Amino acid sequence: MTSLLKKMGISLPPLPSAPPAHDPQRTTLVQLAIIIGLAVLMHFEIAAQEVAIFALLVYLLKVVLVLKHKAPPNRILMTLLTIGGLVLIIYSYGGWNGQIPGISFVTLLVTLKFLESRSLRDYFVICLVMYFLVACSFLFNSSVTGIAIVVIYTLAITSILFQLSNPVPKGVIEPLKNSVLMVIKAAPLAILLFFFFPRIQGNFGFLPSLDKLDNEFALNNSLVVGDLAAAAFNRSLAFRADFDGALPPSKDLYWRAKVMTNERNFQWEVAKPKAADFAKAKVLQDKMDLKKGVVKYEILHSSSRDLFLPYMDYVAGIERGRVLHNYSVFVGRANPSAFRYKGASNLTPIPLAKEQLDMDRLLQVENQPSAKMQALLSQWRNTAESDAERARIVYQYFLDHPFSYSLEPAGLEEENPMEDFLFNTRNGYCEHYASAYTILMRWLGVPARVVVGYQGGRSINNGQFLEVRYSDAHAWSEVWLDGRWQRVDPTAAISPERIEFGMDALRDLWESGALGSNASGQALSDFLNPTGTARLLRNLRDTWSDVTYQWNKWVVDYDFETQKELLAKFGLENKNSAYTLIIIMFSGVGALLLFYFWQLIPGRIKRTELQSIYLNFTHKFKKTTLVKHIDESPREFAKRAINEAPQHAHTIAQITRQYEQLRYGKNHETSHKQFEEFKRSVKAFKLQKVKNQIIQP
Amino acid sequence: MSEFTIGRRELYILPTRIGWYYALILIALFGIAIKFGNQAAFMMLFILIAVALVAMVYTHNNVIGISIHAQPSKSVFLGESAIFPVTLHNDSRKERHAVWLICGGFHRLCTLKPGQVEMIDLKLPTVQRGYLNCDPINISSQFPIGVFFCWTKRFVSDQRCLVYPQPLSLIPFPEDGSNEGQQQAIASVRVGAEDFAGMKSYQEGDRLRDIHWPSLAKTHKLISIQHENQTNSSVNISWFSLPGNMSIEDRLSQLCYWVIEAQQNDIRYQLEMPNHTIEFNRGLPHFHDCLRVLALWGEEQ
Repeated sequence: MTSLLKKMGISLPPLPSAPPAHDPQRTTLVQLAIIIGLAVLMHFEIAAQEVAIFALLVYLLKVVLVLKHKAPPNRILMTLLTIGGLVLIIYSYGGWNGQIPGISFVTLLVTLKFLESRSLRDYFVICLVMYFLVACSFLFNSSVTGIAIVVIYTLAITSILFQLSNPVPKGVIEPLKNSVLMVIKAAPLAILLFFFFPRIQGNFGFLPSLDKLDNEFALNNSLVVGDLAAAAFNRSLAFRADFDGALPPSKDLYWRAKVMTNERNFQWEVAKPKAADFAKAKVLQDKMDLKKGVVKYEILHSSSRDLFLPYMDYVAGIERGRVLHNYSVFVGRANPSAFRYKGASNLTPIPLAKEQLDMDRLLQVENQPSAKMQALLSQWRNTAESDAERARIVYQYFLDHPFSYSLEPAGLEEENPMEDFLFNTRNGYCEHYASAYTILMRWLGVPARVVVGYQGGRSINNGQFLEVRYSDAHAWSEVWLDGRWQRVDPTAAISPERIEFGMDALRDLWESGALGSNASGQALSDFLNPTGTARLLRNLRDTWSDVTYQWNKWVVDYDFETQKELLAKFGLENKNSAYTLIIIMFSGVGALLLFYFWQLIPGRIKRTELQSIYLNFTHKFKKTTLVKHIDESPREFAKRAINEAPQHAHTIAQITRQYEQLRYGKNHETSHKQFEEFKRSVKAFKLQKVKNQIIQP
Repeated sequence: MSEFTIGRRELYILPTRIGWYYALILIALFGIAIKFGNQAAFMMLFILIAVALVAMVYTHNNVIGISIHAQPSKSVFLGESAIFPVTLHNDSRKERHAVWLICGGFHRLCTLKPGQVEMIDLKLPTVQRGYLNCDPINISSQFPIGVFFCWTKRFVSDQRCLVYPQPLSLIPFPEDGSNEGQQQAIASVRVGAEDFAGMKSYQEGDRLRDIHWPSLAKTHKLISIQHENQTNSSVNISWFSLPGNMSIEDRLSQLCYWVIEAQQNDIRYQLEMPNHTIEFNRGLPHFHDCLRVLALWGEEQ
């Protein structure tokens, strides 16, 4: 570094000889070993078994060596172990690109470096790589608990750096205390940087790419009966909705995600949107306006690969994605991390001017009705004249017959599952009812389709926001009546609780075995008005969920958009282009940094009034290029000054004497009067030019 | 300068090698955070940046405001370490951690409590007789986490240390007639003949074997035993009594040895040099006068 600077012509100020290196203390090494050990154990959670075990073995080898006071292994063994580790990573993951191989690589790096470490510098480097490893763990877990672990780790590593850089042993508590203090002092700066540092989008090819997450639930693009029921116990979060005004009643909370029109043997599929579909929906897309709807909300969606976004029915305005003519909203690209968007909706459908229906597709049913079914259908056709009447009569059919709602519905026959359900099992989840109802409507000649999305959700903190989980997934029907699509939810006929109180209440009933029985009413009221512990638990859960929400909103999903929103709150309207904004932010951050350090750095040594008056006096000699040296005493300066300006010899000597008396004399001997006198004589002092002419007598 | 307070203009600060590694880690983390749009990683990045910046201020504040004061040093013989006492004064309310005092090849780690004054003897090797100037003194620190290294301008102390020649016994003590009056054999021969004359408090130059150790245990003061018969003897230590083929440094070393011998035996002695003679006398001032002449031999001309 130094030589490089020298080549560039920059010379460093004289460097002192380096102090002798010291050996790290044993207690420090033990702490470091514990921290690395925990990291190696946590590595098991994400990495392939064999890689995690390899890292653990390397780590244990080092622990044994440290305990037995033995030197680290030689270079040949280290090289072999390193190559072995790399081969193992490539073998286990089939390559080195990706998040998991990346984090395994860093973990192996830490353990191998730890094994090899001899000197202080090695241990320093391990600490730095540990910082990196800890930060990388965020790629897998950005939750509140995740950050708690990371904070603890950061403090511990900083405390070890404290111990490594100080040759005097300080114990365990003091470095930890110091590191906590330092991180606290750093926190305001970090928070400022976080909120105001411009979020640039970028992609670096050399970094590992994003892995596909396996354990993620998403609404399928096809509805196979039994699928949604399987998700009934999946309590992971789909999205949160933050409403502008009051929370709409549960029965209106239909979150529309996918519209399925293609039926095949009691199964439904989404038609993949084509360019023509977008063109067709162009008019609709143009009409979308976030300001129009009755209900306005913001959705914070968990990471999902689903290309259809849930919006509340009936969609009036969208922010993200493109609306299709069936009011489902499609995005071109999956989101690897959580994302947010706004939406606006009406509670009643607004009829379109004129919609061209693809009758063939909307009436198509793969299976032909059996004789029994035919009889029932013709009976319905005869009783009901209009489409609306027919829709009502079929709904009534579900009400009148002993259908039951179940979270674990019975399996159906392969051959004709629809009729098996309708006449035999009569036990199903929402998707059974929606499917069956839609097929019946189609057989009766009424255009109908299935809509899949979410229904309800759990209101948190007295309706501040709504949490919708995958267990809230729901399916319902839409029927073409009087020139518009009408929502019919046959599930409401079977299990009104599901719609009225949401899935949570229903699952509670289901788990207590009260669903559909006589005890149902009592259990439901217990659920709605919890007592004692139950209430406390629920409050705790709500608070935690609120904390997570805020964390996600302000940290995990903080992007350029949110940043702009925040800046707008500070009065920086988004009139300018992004670049101007970025420049403003950079200079703002820079100014804040400067200010911060100005505050941290100790102030100049304060001069007393007396000293500044004396300095004034010395500055009066500037004209003569006479400058007082810092290390010069007033008397030495006076001597030089008299040499320079002999015509003032008397005054200079007098001022210097006065100054010395005031500054160095005993306190009681000097008085305010003397001080005033000194002040006056300095003020009166004026450097006059020496007259060149020497007057001859 | 004998005093020096570290101000802002006297300080340099640069990242250490570890500091540059730290920067590398930050860059890698920045890449990861942008690539995955991971806000938590951004948070971690900013925490680490802020920690480094705060650490920089810590390092700076750890050194600024310490004052060094050089104290007069004592003369030593060539071959011993020259000792330059300096005091470090922490005139603030903060503790100074792990501050290195560096002077030439000498390093000393200090931790200064608020208001603490610490006396440190800088030990420097002596390579030749005469005046030895103290090497420039630096103060440096890597506190708190070793990513920044802060050091001061060189402080050149105006103190110097007089290095006497190395005492060497090359030829026996002069006992021939060139010396003044009656002489006696010195050193070991005479031990038995001494008569106890009394006790006095220890002075530098007294023989170790004359120290009365039991009273040290009792009173914690060094007491020497005085002997009667030393008072009469005297010796002339002369440049001219040395063989002509001896080199100057050897001569000085030899004379130095004899002066020490004479002083330890409490004999009256004079030092005779080609251009200068120090008359017969005894006692410490006389001793140091003689040694000073030997140490500075050849420099004053």
